[in-house]
Amino acid sequence: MTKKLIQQDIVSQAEALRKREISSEELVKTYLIELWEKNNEIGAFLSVSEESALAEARASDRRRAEGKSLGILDGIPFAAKDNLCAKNLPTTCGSRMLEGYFPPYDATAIEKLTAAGSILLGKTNLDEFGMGSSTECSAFHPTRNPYDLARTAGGSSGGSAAAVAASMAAYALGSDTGGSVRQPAAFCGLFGMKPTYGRVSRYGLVAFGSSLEQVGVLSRSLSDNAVVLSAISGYDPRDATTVRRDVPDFLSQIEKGIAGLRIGVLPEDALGELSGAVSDALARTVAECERLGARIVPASLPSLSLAAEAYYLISSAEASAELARFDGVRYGRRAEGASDIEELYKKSRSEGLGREVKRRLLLGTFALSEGYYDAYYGRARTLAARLGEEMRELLRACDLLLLPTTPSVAHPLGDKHRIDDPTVSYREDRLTVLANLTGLPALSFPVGRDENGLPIGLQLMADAFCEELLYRGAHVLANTNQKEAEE
Amino acid sequence: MKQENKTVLDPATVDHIAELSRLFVPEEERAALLRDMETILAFAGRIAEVENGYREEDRQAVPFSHLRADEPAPSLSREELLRSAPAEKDGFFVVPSVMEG
Repeated sequence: MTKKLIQQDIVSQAEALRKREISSEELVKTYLIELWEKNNEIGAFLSVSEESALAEARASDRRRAEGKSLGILDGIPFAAKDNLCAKNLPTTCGSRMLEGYFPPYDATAIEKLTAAGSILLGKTNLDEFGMGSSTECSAFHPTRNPYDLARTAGGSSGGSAAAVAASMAAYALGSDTGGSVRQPAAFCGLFGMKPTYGRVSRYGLVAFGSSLEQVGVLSRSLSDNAVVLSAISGYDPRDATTVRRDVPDFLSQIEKGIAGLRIGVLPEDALGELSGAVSDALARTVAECERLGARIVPASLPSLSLAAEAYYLISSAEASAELARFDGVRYGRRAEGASDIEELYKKSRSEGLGREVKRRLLLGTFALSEGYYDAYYGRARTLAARLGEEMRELLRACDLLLLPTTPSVAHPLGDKHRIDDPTVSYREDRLTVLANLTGLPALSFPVGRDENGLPIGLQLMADAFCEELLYRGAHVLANTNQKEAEE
Repeated sequence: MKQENKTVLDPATVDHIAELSRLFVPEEERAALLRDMETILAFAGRIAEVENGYREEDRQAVPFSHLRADEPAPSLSREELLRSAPAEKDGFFVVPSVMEG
């Protein structure tokens, strides 16, 4: 019974805890058994805090027995991407640079969840410092897709996605700089939310692209996603980019349906080449929108054609600044045998940082360097600003924008074509970087599987701070395995 | 002065940006890295299609919603911060020579 429970949503688990059908300790133990059975094969987790998780579970049970439950998340275990700082576990960012590094503080998002009684089970695998779309850029090992172990779970939050999809955690935190929550969510049949920029504190998220990224939520159910988002949202004095805005009930509009809503759809040539499965899924979902009484509005985003290019220039430029701190001086890997400080920096960084990270740092440094700044970084920022204006225009005519999350389903691991040409993956991010470049919220939701049983995800985008509208739309349009099983 | 029609990535330029990035590229990796960077720049260089006009108002990447008051306050302790130090002595991070001579 417990084994089935770990595949269900937070509400069901919280209910079982409340009714004393199960203890939090039993729940956590069941997740841990699942984790130990599957993790060698899937490679979702980099570190697990078994003892402290069980201790916290027992504390949760004591609170409940005394009638002092902290709420729906009390006693529910989660996983966090390994670029989110947590004091009692290493935070490696998937890099040799930070192998064995223990941060002296917790990320705000983790702090808030543990204050609500939720239990951190462990840290999950990622492409190094968030740079990658498959976890093949992790310094340690790739994460395999639970639906097909020969394929990627996506990236960079691949470990978090695989952990949730394989029922090794109830839900997980990731980070999304260019699609790194939404793409793995799509590949693994999950809901993946990138909130509006400023909605969730980035304090404790190891910075990569600071103007682009948000902590995001990966979950098996839509309501789980909203519950967790509520818990982690809010102004934080330790992150000057968080907004002073009340955290709404993200599920408040969920029963309203989409009748009468205007749903924007981009023309085929704007979306670029899509696989048959994704294209069909989009067409079916558009038809479903109309069936449910929504109005389909043809939309356009002329600047979308250069969005991926702009994203890689901006994110790499920001990364070159954000990763400058990894210099072997105060923490992380320090090279041996350096005769002076300059040699220390170069040797430590060259030894500690992987190939993709180095490529991006070089690109970013180049884009910001004298003589190239305006031509590359400047133009990229102009493109991003234009995209923002075009989205504002679009969202005057539409309530929601519907588009694919990725051009295809999860690809095989070790694809030589991708290894030889890094820009193959870069181009595929064009549909997700839109939300990061404009700061707008975006939710990837599952819409079924392809002929090989691989999950397909589509995306909804809305105006700033309108996450409730995203959940409202996805509630009627998502087609999860659960729904299929019930039919 | 930049020349937009020429391949901007000659080995000298790669060396220069590697120096700026404080990265050391071993001889045996140089050819592969140069190839990768050319591919990446061919992709990113499409940004040239954006008409000239980097507007000053596009410069600020994010709207800061607020800044905290500039008042000193306790933060993490010295002990906590030195715990991860690769080398430390008497409360200082120890590094190799910073200045010549």
